[in-house]
Amino acid sequence: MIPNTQTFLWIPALACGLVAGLVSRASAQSRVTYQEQVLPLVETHCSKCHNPDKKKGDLDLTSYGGVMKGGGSGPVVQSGSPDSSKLLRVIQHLEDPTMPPNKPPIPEKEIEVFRRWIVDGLLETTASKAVAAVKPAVDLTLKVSTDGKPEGAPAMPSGLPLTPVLQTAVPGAVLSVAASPWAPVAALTGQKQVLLYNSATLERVGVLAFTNGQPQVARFSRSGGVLLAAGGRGGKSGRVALWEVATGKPLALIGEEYDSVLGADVSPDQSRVALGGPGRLLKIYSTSTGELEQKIKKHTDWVTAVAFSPNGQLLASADRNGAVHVWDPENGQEIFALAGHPASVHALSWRGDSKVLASAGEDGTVKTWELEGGKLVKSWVAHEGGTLGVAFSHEGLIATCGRNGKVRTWDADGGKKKTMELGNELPLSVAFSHDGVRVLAGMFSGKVFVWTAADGKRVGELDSNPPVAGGRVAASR
Amino acid sequence: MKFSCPHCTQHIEADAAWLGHTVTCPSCAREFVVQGAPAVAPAAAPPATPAATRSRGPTRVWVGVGLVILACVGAATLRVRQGGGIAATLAALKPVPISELRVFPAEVHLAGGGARQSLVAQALLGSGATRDLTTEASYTVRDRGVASVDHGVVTPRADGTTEIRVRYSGREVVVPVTVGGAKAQAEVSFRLDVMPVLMKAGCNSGGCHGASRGKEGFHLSLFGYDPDGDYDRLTREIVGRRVNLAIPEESLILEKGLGKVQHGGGERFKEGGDLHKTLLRWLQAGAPKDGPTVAHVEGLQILPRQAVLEGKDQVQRMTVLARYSDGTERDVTRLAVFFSNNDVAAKVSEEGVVTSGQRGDAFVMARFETHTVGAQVLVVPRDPGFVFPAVAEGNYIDGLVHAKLRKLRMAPSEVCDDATFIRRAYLDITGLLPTPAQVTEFTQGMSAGKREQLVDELLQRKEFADLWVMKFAELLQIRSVQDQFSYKAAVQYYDWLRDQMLANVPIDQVVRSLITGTGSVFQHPEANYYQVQTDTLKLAENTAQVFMGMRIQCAQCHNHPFDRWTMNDYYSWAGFFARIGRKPGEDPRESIVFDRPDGESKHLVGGRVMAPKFLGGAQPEIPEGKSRREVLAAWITSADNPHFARNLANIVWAHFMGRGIIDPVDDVRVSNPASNPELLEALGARFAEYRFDFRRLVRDICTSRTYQLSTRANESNALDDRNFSHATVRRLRAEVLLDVLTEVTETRNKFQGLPRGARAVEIPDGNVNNYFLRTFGRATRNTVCSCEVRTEPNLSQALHLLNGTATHEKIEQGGVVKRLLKESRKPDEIVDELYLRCLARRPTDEERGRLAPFLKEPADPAAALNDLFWALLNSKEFVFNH
Repeated sequence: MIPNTQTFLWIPALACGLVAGLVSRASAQSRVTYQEQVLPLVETHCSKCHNPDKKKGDLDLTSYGGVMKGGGSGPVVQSGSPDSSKLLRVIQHLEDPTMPPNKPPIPEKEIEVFRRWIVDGLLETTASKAVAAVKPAVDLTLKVSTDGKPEGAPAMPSGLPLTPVLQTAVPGAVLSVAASPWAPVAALTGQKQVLLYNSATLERVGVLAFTNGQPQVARFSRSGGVLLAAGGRGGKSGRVALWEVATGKPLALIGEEYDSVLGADVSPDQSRVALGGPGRLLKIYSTSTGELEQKIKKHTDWVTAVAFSPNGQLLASADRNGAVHVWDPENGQEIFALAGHPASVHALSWRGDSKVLASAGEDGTVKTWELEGGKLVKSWVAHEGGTLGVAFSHEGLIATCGRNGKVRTWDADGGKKKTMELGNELPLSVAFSHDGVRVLAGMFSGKVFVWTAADGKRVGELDSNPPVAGGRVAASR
Repeated sequence: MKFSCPHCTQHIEADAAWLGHTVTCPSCAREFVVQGAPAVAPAAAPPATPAATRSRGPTRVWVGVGLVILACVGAATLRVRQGGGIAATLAALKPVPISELRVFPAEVHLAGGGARQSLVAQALLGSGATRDLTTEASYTVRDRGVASVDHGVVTPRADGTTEIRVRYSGREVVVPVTVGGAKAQAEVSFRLDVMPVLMKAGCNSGGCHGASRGKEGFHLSLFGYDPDGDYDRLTREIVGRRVNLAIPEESLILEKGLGKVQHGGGERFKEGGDLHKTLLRWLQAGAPKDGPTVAHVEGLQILPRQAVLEGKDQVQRMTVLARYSDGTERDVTRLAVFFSNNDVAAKVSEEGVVTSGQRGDAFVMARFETHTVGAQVLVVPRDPGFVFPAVAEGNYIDGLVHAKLRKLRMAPSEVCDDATFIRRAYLDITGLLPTPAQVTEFTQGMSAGKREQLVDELLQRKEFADLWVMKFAELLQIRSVQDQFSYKAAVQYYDWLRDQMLANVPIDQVVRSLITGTGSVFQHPEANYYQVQTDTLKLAENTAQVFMGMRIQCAQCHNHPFDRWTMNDYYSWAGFFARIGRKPGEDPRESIVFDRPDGESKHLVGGRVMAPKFLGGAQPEIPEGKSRREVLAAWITSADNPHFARNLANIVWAHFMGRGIIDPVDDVRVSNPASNPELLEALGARFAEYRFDFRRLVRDICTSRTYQLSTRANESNALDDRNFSHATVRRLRAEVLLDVLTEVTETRNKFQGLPRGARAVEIPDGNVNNYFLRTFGRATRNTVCSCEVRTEPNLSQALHLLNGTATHEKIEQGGVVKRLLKESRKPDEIVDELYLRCLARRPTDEERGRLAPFLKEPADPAAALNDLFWALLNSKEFVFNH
């Protein structure tokens, strides 16, 4: 009787299984190398264009040297940093030009091979040594800085009016949340007013009327003694207002804009205010005379964020096109142009020692820059859809919030630390309390939540639209 | 108040109450609408001031009271002042005699407390003209508790049903009214309420925020093709700026729209107006996003569909209704965007009121959401004396053409003479000129049906097929392209097409073969359809343009601004072409076309997969494994797709008449309507009925009276260029011109790849280097556009005919005159022969007289006659088909 094929199928099946088991065990232990795993994929998907003859984009991927050399727009891989490696980002279709062009992305498993290869240190063959990750030439270790810390007790509001200017039927979005660097006081923008709360006790400690339209930005000076609020009436006017935090006394009204101010900051020595908005100009005013000191015409779209460095030596500004510039506030000279964001930059934050600047963009990334050479340190996707707020703590932790409805903390390398408990909200702005213990964020819905940074648990809420007890109620219906 | 009759300028005084009414002039008995502002001073003296005990109050008050009293009395008399004499009282208002009263819409459905319906009352007069009687008719609601009517606008009161009686001049129309949800105030929906505001106010138009980059960083999808994206951009893109949900009236979108703050677009809506209130209500409700089941607009109607206005400054109101997918209907007249395609004939205001201008016909359109609909407005002169002449009708074509001309009060021209006809028929049907013998025989023939007979004979000629192969070769872009489309393939493609046409294969079968073309392009030349164009989207566009006459290109990036096509339509149509695979054959010039098992069309916004859907039709169920192209080919040529037959019929019509019923022939769209929709429909239906047999359709056209009209216009149709009231003078196209030049000079041309003596219309490759053809506008076939063939004049053409090889050299080469002289023909006879050859007629007496001096015993008769020959070839009468 002739045995049919099915009888003996188990032999090759068993053999395959054994071999597969051996192979998989082996590959689990070995690292991904260019010659073994990456080159075959390149030959399948990439070599039609990225070969030595055609060299599209001046990039040849068919040799290890070619990959490491990079292409017309620079290196395509960065050892150890998949998120900063252009090659990985384009095959994941996270960045243009998406690869392969006009086709769907290559299978996930194959993308994973590339990612592992980058993480494992860009090995050429099994005998290679990992390529050292490029470290910035600058020493970026943080020495917790006390730059700007005032002598004596940091300012806490006392005796300020607590009655809101108005209460609306529905709370408006909280556009900006800020915390004093040294005292447990936080400020949030409301409707025609700025509200001050104690970030430890969560009690309201002051209400300051903003009489020039709607406030868009709230910031504390480096010493914590001065509060700045800037905003205006869209298409019509814009001003910056300064108050003394301890007493609530109005100190100055700066600027005469014809549209709302979108980004503003006060210098650490409180002698200058910088502001910018739809006019695309960055203006620096003197707080003592109110006069315009510098009018800088560089940005090609609306200025969205402005921040002085804690030591007062640098001024950073960002715009809706994604450009970030760093200036010398004394004379308005440009120091660095930090290019990298492909879309609008929403927020800027300086590390306490003035050595690192963080920028948050609509492309979803947070990018950190070192200010010795003006180079990018790290870039990572913090919130898909857009990162709207970023803030440094004294210890160098970073808090962010974004369009994916999350509020998170990270370490300086972009390692995710904690995600705050948040329901279905759109957080717009984020800040650390002065001691870094708490995180505050303002929402599109008008809510302001407070969490403990260490565990991400919510500890309370601040009211951005508190009732006017017996006072004037402006209803919007 | 004082005014004068616009016809006889008689001065008339009457009460202000007459304003806007149609009256009969007491002097000349013609009708007119009373216009003009009432004078401040009343006709009568103001009543005396009261007793002296009262202080002297302001006389103005009393004057005003007097006016009001007079107006209230509303005496039905007109006073006429003649010279200095006092008035005679005349007859009361004489209503206009009408033959029918119509009210639009026929039924009123009001849903919700905020609903409104504007009614339009239109009268059909005995003369065929119409008149807007909306403000003159009387409206009575049977049950006032359910609904009320004011100035033709119906508003709901309480749920229920009732009816409105509309009366005028003894006629009455009853309009049933249904009211539902009267107590409820409908929620403001972003898609249903806010998006139309953005369109009506012009926010999302191409010149403003609808531009590809928007304005100042604020981008709205053009005409709202992306409502979800617009919602996000409005509310979330820059939080705190464009909308403020806490203090809605301070939202920038309102402040800018009202012009309260600097706005490049200026003031787009008025404070307190409907548009402003809708936006504010939406913001006050918290700017809600629509749920997943929000209704969408399924159809749009503009009523009345037709108006015939007599004279200038006549008015016709329009009402526009939208029909939603949840079964409701809504009056969207105040939200629709109106425009006219002929402002000279009829203008339309923002509120949808049409005002007539010069004589002509206009198409007034309303656009709402993604729908555009139109109404035909004919403006005719006020001429009660117009009588349509009694002319013979050759066939159904004439009946339909005359119907339109009657409406326009235009008389068709007279029929052309035999000489003109034979030349025209030969050129149009065969691309050749008749020989002198043929001309003589025809013009002298006495049989009644000789023109039909001639047409029948010409249709059997091979040259007829050649002409249409050439025209189709242009549509199919048969031309060689360096490194992309080989000459061999082009010639094979052309030969295949020619074989089909010569064998009289019905055109629908040819189209099916093309669309389903599979295999090696060498063995199956029809598959070249997919080699000529390899890009999926361009294939989809070309197929729509060539076979259905529709240009959907615009909808690739946004909803078509003037037509019904949305991006969804575009990408789902492209789905039929998404699975075409090509692989190289053995020969490097050979390509093999096949159907791939995968491949999808993805929408540009969001990248979602679009299942194939017929353009303007249903979404077919395509079983796994079935070729999408087969499904497509079957539908395009089926009765379910009326556009195919009509488009081809239109192409044929345009060839013989010089202008399509829809013009350009490949620009069928809502905003470019047929000048005679009934005619187009009839031709399409016949063509389908004839199983797409070209010859039968051409016969219908060429035997109609309309084809045989003279190019001489008469007074009534002098300005007409689109209603076929007279024939048009047309320059011969390049190939035909070269061929007839060659024919009459008895020479032969040599074109690449063709034997000597082949005609220019037989050249298969569009990419042929020939100076004459290029200069005279031969199609390069680089696109499928009907505009490729150019007949506009230019200097090169004139110079070439004067000095170039086409005339002088050909005359020398052909030696026609020499031969005729050798045959001992007299100069007079040769003159006749040349005239017959070139112009299909003998010279007139005047022409003979002018030529006589040159021919009286010439030293060199050949030279003189050749000069005459050259002059004939350069004459407009030769170069043009008239």
